[in-house]
Amino acid sequence: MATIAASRIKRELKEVKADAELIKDDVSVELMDNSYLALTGEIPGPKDTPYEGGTFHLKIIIPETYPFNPPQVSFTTKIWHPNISSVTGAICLDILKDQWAAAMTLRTVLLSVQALLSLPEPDDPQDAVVAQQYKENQDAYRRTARHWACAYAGAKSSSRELDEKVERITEMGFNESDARDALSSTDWDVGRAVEKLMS
Amino acid sequence: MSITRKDGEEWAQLVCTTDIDAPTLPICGEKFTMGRALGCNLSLPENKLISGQHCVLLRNEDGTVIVRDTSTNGTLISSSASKTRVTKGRSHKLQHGDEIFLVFKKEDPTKNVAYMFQDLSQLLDETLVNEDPESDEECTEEYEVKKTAADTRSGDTPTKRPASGVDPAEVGAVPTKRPRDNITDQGNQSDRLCQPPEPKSTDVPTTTSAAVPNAETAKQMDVASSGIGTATDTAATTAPGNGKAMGDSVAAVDTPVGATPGGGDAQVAAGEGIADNLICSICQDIFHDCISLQPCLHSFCAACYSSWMDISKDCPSCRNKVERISRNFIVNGLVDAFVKEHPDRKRSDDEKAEMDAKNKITRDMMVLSGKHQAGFDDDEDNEDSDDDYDEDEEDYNSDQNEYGYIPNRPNIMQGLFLPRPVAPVAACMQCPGYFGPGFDTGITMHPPIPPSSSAATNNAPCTAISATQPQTGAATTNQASHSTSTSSNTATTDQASTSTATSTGATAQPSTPAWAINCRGYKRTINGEYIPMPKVPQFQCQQGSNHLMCGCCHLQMPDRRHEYFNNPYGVPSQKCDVCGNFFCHRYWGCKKIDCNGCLNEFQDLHFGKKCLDNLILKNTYESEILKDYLKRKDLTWKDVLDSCMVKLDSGEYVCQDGAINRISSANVLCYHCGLKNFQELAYQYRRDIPKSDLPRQIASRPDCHWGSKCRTQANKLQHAKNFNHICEQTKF
Repeated sequence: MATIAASRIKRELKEVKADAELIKDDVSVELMDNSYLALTGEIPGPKDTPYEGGTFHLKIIIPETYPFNPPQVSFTTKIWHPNISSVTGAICLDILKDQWAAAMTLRTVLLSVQALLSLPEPDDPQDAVVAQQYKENQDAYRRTARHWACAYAGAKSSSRELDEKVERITEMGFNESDARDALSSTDWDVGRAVEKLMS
Repeated sequence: MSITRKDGEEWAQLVCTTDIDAPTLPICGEKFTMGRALGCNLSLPENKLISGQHCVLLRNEDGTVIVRDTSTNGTLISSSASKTRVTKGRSHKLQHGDEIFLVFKKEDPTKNVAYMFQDLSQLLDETLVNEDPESDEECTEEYEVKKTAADTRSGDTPTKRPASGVDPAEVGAVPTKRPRDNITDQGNQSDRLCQPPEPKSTDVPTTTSAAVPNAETAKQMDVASSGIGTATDTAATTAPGNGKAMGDSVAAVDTPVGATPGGGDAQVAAGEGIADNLICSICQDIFHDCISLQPCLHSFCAACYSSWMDISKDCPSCRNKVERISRNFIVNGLVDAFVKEHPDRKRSDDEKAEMDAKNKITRDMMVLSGKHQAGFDDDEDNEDSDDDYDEDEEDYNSDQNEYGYIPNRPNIMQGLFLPRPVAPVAACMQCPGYFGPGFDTGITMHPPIPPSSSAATNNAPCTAISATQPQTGAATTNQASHSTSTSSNTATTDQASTSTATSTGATAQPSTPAWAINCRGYKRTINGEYIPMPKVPQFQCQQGSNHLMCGCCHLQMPDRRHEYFNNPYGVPSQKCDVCGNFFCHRYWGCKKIDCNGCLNEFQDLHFGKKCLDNLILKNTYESEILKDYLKRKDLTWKDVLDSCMVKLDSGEYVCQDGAINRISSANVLCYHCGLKNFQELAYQYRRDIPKSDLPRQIASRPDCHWGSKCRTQANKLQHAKNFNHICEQTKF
């Protein structure tokens, strides 16, 4: 089965590279090594979302039983999204789990992940904190996601206010990403965030 | 067809490609209309498939030509690379060499009406390339296949097309009709207008002389041989010679020299287009042994889908539930043809062998239900068992068993076709784990034997042993069981209850069915007659394998038609040779209470004495006559059948099905087909009874005008009595 996995990945890479739509969107896939069993992907944040302008990196592990089992896809770029773990980057997406079908390809997977960024599904969350924020405070979610995209995915025009809050906490001697995590999960309340970091 | 000419300079022409007798149509004005209406430039009033104003060709100021469709059915533009359907109100840019289909019927190409659009200036270029002194005479042929630059470049004498290489059809060299005078005209004109270029070439084929048009040819050839990079140069130099009509970039690109590499690409692209559609979406490679799922009709390699089947019972493409899997022979044929043309896309033999090994789908099958329900049937494994006719080892001596009935079996009939969520369905008595219905008549069934005990040998020789004790069989070969199976009335069972025998027998065959029938070789029909029951072939179904439903008792039996096909003597037939319906009597003896043997060889069919009541022409009176006659002669229906069979085989008697299907006494027929044919034969039998053997008042009746075809005889007894119907029709 391993042979079919490798030969299929080979073809799929070609397909992704030849697909005009993906090229236009800057979606790309590269081999991590030469085994065809580990790949890196890159998708841009979709337009009109807080992720716009950012470039998100994915790690794609192809199982030996591919395409009969889904590839394991996770974000290596940190991202604030209800269906993606803000800690591990694990993605909660049905087609990567029980809804996988053998006819799906890297191309469809990448497009699905990109679509997930546009349309979060807070009722089936991977990251409960983000999902809760998304449901209760849509604006805070957007600002946080935007901030994260700027901090980690290279998007431009972050909110100055949030940057300053992160700075204030880092000045206290905390790690920047810890500070950001804490602030994000406390709706950018500096006091609660510090409290959280101290505990 | 009428053509309205317009004044003005000719700049293009239309050549009818569907009617070679049609004249070439010159296009002069900026606008050229085509349609059924009389006012059109090209009017085709007699063709109802063409709209009144079908389409119009328009030449823009920059020299580009578009076709705008104004028709109901649309216009198809076919270029060497692609086909484009232009619908009402839409326009399409027309290139030199494009074919305009006013009528395009894929399934009936004879109805097609198509014209090839030829830009005269470009046509001239092609002409110049193709002409050379040796083939000058060729111009006298009215229809000429245009030679392409590829041909010229190949270095052969230009009149000869290379056997291999670029297919001319692919590079736009469609057979065209070219009025000779037109070309020479244009050629001369071009000679006058065009400054003959310096024949700079040194590699001009020696066959080319220095005549003026040939200098042009030589130059073209030179350019061709020196590479594609200069193609635009050529166009530039030839452009002045093409008159005012040309001089635009579109035409330049389309010069034959430039077209050659483009045509090559088109060919590759066309191949790729086919290949894209012959890709299994699981392995992303060309199909190998394509199967299609029903009802969604998505197709995959059999091996790929076999692997997926273990994971999900839904279609990998659309997640629809798969109800049936079938081989897709059309796609397989296409793949074969494609691979022949593109050997590089072929899978290696090793790969194919590997895939074949993974393939669990050996033929069309019904997917019953459950994850592993998709039927597999390992032909090889079963072949050993084909020849086995084993009887039950257990002899039921008591009459109670003869007609016994074991109640309390759950009836699984309702689940045969419907998906059942939990356990695999044991559809028939030869399915493993069958726990089926008791039958209405004469057949006794055993409760299933636990699987642990059934792994032993199943070729136990036929030794009569006490009925209740299962026997430990010694492993024997198939031949042995064959030879022992002759003692027909001694029932044998293949079940051996001890697990010690596994090592000897398990390799030979799959375990035997967990059931046994005591049929004693005969079944009593409701008329009190006894009909022989066949020996039940030893067989065990693979899980989920295909089944056939008996048209008589509506119970399932294993589908073994392919085995019968391979070896008609190994497995009983399961279907009627005439109507093609499935019946189980010949396979294992139909158990339906009023079944007289629903399938058998014609000569062995049991019609019973009741058949005599209405045997002749559905005319009870005539049938009665035959019955009396047989009684006097002390004959039975069987004697009639036998003598009919002899005469059928000798060709003396014919029946309708016999004429069509060439049936003989040995053909396997179902009861209904058999009876129908027997009635025809019996009529001939009755016809051959000499009148002297019949009572006088019967023999002296006048013939009915309608003879045997009389329809009154069946329902008017008086008419049937008064007239003889055993005669031909005399009144029409």
